[in-house]
Amino acid sequence: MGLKKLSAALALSVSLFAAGAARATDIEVTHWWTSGGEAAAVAEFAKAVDASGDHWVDGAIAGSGDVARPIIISRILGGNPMGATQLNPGHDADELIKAGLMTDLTEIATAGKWNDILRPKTQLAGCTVDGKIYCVPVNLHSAQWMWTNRKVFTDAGIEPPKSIADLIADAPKLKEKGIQPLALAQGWAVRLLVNDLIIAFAGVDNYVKVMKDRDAALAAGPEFTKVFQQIGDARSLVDTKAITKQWNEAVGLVISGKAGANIMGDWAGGEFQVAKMVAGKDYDCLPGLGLAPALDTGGDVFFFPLNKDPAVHAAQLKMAQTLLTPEVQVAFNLKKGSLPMRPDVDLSAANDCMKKGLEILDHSKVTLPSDRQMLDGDSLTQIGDLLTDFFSKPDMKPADVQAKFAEIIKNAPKM
Amino acid sequence: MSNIELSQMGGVSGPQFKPTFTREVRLALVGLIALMTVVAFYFDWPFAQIGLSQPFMLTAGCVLVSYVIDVPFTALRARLAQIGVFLLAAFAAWLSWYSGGTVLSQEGADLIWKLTCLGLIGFILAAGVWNAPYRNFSSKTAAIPMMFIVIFAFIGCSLWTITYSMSEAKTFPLYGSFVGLKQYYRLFNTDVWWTACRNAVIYLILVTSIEFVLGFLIAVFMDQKIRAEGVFRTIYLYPFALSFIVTGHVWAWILSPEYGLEKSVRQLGWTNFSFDWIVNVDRSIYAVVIAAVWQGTGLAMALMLAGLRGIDDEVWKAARIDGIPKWRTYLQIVIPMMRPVLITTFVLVASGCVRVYDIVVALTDGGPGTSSKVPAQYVYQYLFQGGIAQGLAASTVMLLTSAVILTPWIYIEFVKNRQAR
Repeated sequence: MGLKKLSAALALSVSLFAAGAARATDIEVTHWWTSGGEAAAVAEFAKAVDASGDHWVDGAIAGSGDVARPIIISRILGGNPMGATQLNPGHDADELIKAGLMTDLTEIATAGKWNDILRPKTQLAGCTVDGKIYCVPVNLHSAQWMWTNRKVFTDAGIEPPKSIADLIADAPKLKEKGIQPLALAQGWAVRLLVNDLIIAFAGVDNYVKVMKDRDAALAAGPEFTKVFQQIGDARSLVDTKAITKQWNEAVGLVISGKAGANIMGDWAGGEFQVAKMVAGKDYDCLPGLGLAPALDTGGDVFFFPLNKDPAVHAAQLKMAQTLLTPEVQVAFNLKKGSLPMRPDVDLSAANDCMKKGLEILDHSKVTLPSDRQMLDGDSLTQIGDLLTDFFSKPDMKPADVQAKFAEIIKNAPKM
Repeated sequence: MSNIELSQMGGVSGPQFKPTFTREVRLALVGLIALMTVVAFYFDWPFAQIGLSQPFMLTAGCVLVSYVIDVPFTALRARLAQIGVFLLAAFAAWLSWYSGGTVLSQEGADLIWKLTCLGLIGFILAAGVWNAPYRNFSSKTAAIPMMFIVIFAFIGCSLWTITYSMSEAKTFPLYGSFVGLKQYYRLFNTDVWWTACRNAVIYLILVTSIEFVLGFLIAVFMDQKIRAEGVFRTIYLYPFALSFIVTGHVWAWILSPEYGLEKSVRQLGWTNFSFDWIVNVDRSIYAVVIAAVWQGTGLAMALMLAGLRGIDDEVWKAARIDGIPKWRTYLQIVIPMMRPVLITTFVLVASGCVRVYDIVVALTDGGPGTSSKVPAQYVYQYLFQGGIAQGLAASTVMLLTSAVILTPWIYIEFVKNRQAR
C-alpha cells in the first residue's frame, strides 16, 4: 500500500508540473523596465496591447538585465514560457532560437514590410537568424555619451569640456576643489566606459575589427598599446573610493555637482530630466565622448517564446505588429528617452540630446553594433572583471591589461 | 513470471509472514496497474507534457532505490536484471543520438525509451504489490525520499556539474563539445578567481577564529550567574535573527565613510579619523568580516553556553576543592569536556563561511572593483551570464576543495572513533 500511495503522490506532483497553461488572450510580458521613466514608457505598450483586444499581464522583474536575463532564459528553458519578453539580441538569444524555442515572425514581418520601414538595417539583422525574423526591435539606445554638469566647470573657472581629452586636461583643477572629475559605477558600467574609450581613442573601425572580427593581433599591437595607455590616463580621473554600486547613483553625483562628468548611455538623459535640468544649458551631452561622433545601435527588442496554445500564438503575432505602429512608437520612445525604430514619426517634442542622436543616426554612416551583438556573454563577463580590476587598482599596468584583453578576444568563440 | 518464481525471488516467506492480500485482490491490483500503464502509454503520459528526460531520470531513481532497499525483489539477479534493462534502453538512446539516427531512428529510440520508463515503473509497482509484505517495510518506505534526494541532488547533480564543466557550454548546457580541462586551465589563469579564493580563505580563518574565541568568552561571561542574563542573551543572539542581506545593508551604511561611523566621529571633533575599509581595495574583505562576526557570534555564544551548562556542577566542586584556579579549570577541564559542542559550532560556522555569498553581495557587491569577491559570486556570475561551463568548473573546484578538507576530518571523527570504541 505504501508504495502505491507513494506512486500516487509522484503522479500528482508530475501532473502539477505539467499544468499551468495561460488563459486564452492573456499575454504575460516580462521586462526589466522598473525605474520611473521606464515604467511610464512600458505602460504605453500595455495600453496599446489592451486596446487591441488582448490583455497585457505585466511581469516586471526588478533589478538590471543581469538579474532579469537568467530568470527569463530559465523560464523559457524550463518549458514555462511567457507570452512575450524583453531580451537583448545576441549570443544568448541566438542559442534559444537555434533550440527552436522562439516564435518565427517572418510572415508578419514581410507583410508589414519591416525591412523597408525600420532603420538602421543592423537592428533587424540582429533579430534575423538564417533568414528568419524572431524578434521585434522597439527602440534604439546608444551607449557612447559623456554627460557633464556645466556649473561644476564654470564654478572652477574653466570652460566646460568639449571632449574626454578636455576633461583629462581639466582634471587637476577639479581635484583641487575636491570634485572627482569622472564618476563611475561598478559592474557593467565599467565595461561601457572602456568600450566608449576604445571607440573614442582607437576609432570605430578598429573597435569593430577587434570585437567582432576578433583581430587579436590588432588588440595586442602597438596601436592598442597607446589606447590602453590613454585608458590608464582616464583611470586617474576616477576616485576609486567613490565608485558607486548603481549607474544612476553615478549620474546622481554629476547632477548634484560632486562629480564633473559621467560616461553612460542615453538613458542617463532621463535622470537629468527628472532633476529638471536643461540640455545645453545646465548639462551637456557629448556623443562619442566628443571625439568620434559614433553611436552603437543597441536597443531593446521583444521576443515571443514559442507557445503551444494557438490563442496565445495569435495574440503574440498581433502584439508584435502593435508595438511597431507609429503612434505606439512615438508614445513609448518619448517617455523612454530612446529613439524610435521608424523615421516616419513626429518627434517635435524631443530634447536636444535626442536630436543630436537622431542627427548621427540619420545622416552619418558611423553606426556600430552593440557589444552584446559582437561577443558572447562569457567573454563579456571576463572583460568586465578584468576592467573592473584595472579601474580599482591604480598600480595595475595598462600593458598587462592589454595582454589579457587580447587573450580573451583570441579565445572568444565565433558567433 | 509465475507466482512461485516471484515468491522465490522476492517477498518474504516463512510461517510468520502472511501475504497482505488474497490471491484475487492481488490479481486485481496487478491488473489495475497493468491497465494504468497501458493507458498512460496510449495517452503518451507524461512524455507529452514534460518530455523524455525527466521520466527517464525518475525510472533510473526507481531502479536504483529498488536495488538498494530490496523491494520488490530480494534476489540479487532480479534486481540486477532491472538495472540491465534500464541500461540497455539508455544505450539504445545514446546509439541513436550518436549515430544521428542511422543505426536506430529517433522514433525507435523514443519508443524504447517510453516502453522502458512505463514498463519498469509498472513492473516494480506490480511486483511490489504482489510480493508484499516485506521485512522492515515501513522504515524502507520512509527512506525512499531521502534516497531519491541523495541520488538526484547529491550524486546526480554533482556528476552533471563535473560533466558539463568539461564542455564549452555557454548559455545552454548542450553537450557534444568536450574540451577536457580547458575551463579549469582558464579558471586558474584568472586573477579574479584567485582574488576570490584569497578572500574566501581570509574570511574563513578570521570569521571562524574570531567567532569561536569571542563566542566562548561571552558564553563564559554569561555563565558567571550574572544579573539579567536573559536580557544579555537576547541582545547577543539578536543579530542572528537578521538575514545576511539585512546585515549587509545595515553595515554598508555604518561603514560608509560618507554617512556612517567615519563621519560621526569626525563631527565629534576628531577630523583626522579615518575608517574607510569598505571602499578601500586592500581592506574591503575585512569590512565583510566585521559584519559577519557581528551577525554570527551570537550563535556561537548560544551553542557554547549550552555546552557550559551541560558541565556537571560536581566537576566545578571537585576543581574548587583541589584549589585549581578558575581559568585553568576552563582551559584544561571544561574545554576538553565540551569537545562535541565545539565541533558542532565549528562545523556550523565553517560551512557558513564556505558558502558565503549574500552578505558580500549586500555589503560591497564584490567591490570596490573585484577586491571583495568570493568564489560563490564568481560561480553565480558565470553560470547566469552566458558562461555555464566556466561557472560549473569553478563550482567543481569549490566542491573538491571542501571535500579534500572535510574527508579526513569525517574519517577521523566518525570512522576511526567508531572502530576504536
